[in-house]
Amino acid sequence: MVGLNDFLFQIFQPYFFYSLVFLSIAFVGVKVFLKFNPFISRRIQSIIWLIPLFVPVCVLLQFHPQTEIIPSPFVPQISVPAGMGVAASVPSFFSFTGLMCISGAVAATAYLLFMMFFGRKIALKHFHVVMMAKDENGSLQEKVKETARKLRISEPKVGLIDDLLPNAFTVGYGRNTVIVFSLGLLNMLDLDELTAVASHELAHVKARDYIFKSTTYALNILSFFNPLSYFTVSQSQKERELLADQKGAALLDKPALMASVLTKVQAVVQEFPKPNLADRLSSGLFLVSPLAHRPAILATHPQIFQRVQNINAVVSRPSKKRRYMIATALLLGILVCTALILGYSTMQVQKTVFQKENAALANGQSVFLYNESASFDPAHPTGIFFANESSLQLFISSLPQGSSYVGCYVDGNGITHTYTSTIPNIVEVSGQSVLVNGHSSFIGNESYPVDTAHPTGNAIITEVYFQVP
Amino acid sequence: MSQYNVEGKQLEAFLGPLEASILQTIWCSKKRPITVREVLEELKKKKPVAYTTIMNTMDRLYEKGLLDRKIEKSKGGAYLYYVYWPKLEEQKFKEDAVRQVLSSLIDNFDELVTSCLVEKAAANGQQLEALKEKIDKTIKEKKQ
Repeated sequence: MVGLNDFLFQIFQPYFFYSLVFLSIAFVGVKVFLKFNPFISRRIQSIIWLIPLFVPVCVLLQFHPQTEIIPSPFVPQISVPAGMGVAASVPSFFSFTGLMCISGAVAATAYLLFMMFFGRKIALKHFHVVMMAKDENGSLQEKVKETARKLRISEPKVGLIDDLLPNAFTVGYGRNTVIVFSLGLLNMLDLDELTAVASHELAHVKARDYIFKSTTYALNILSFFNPLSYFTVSQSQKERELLADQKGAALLDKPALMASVLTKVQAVVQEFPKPNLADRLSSGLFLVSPLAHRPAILATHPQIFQRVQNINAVVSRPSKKRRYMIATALLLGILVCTALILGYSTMQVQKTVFQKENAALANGQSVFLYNESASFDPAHPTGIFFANESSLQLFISSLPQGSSYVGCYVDGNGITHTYTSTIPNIVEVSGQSVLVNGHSSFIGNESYPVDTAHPTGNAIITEVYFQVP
Repeated sequence: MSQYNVEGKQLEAFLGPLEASILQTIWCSKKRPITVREVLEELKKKKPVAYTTIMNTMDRLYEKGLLDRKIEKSKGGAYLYYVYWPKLEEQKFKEDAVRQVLSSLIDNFDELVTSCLVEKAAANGQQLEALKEKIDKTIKEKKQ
């Protein structure tokens, strides 16, 4: 029977929940932020759009997706059968969301590595790209080289595909870049217009958009379960596209040519039947900037009229206004503060989570109590961590009579002390110290400032654990 | 057939060298219809050649009526391209071409051609026999 609780435990699997929530918050934040700051440059905008996508990565560093859920929200529930070791009898169950998160992370890594090492080869093969011979379309190749020199990038190779639709795209990065024109495009446009297309593509190369795109797609795969990540990717891709339009247009003698080419290409593409979704997506995964794409919410390319407007805006760019700058600073401040607060609360939550996660490890003879840090001691595989005294007290009270307590610490003079005591003698847990048999040792952090109330102050605790009879 | 090249060997008597090798490639290929790219890949094995050159030549062969073509859609429909196939098979093409050239020759130089043919055939005894048989057969058919 799957109850509401099971469902909630699935949802509240830490990595899944936090990446979902924080990405969404960041998405809305960025959306609002950019709404009020339309004058931020395209490059910065596209990078800002990456923030929501990187949020799950940060969450991933803090919480690792787990395939097992231990339903013990705040207090370690350890029941100890009489005469036996402390056994983990907390039932754990399989987490589908955890499995989903793990597969997302694995797929994202695999995709990124694949794109970096084999992406170019596969794309060239998939689209049947034919490399142009040296004397083939000589004037176009010359123009491409010239534009590459202007941008100070290494000269790309030029290829073509026998597609009758007008299209152009870039594959690969660095010295292995290939700019591909379709037959339809070569037939339709004259040399000047083709140069405009080439400078758009080369602007992509200059901006290292192959890597940018591969990364954003990998991040998208990482949080594939979050619908907002698709919107984020789409937004950042559109910004990159507009940026390439601008930079490309700036390279031309007549920047307006870029706009007219786009309009011309769009008009022709519109006449052809729509490709199906799967094909559009698969081509999008491989390529930087297929020139002609249909406008859609999830499209990687902005609508043509938007692109034309954008190019025209380069010619007469409005000056940045001061109040917008102030608003930017303010919003940035708010964003940073939010991030800090979120980060802090995440840390707080994390502490509880460690306690929760590791409680189940308690089995065998000893329960190891060390400190809050995540560094797990392999010598004590039954490690258990406590975030605060109340949970420690609760734990101690659950131990059977006769359990012993061992504490080792190095005091301020560098002398190692060991205390052993049986459970009823642990009389007090106060502040950050546990008083044992009149002596005290500290549970909490590894090092403390000198505490005059406790003679063992300034101690470095090396080991504290409980021994069950 | 608009031209006949006296010096050309085999197909090159009727066609340009590239045209001939493209047609030959298409005839030999198991894949029908075939794309420009596939022809290119085949020809590239022998010597470097540019895509556009092949494309233009195949375009010309289409205009000459030796190849037929249509626009094909890729699986998803994102991609449109030409596919070509030969209008005539190799043997039929050769027959037609020879017949065309010969009939033009006969039309223009009637007597000369027949005597020339017999002369040529006489150099090889078997051919002469075959020619005689054909002539006899045709005469018989005409009488009936």
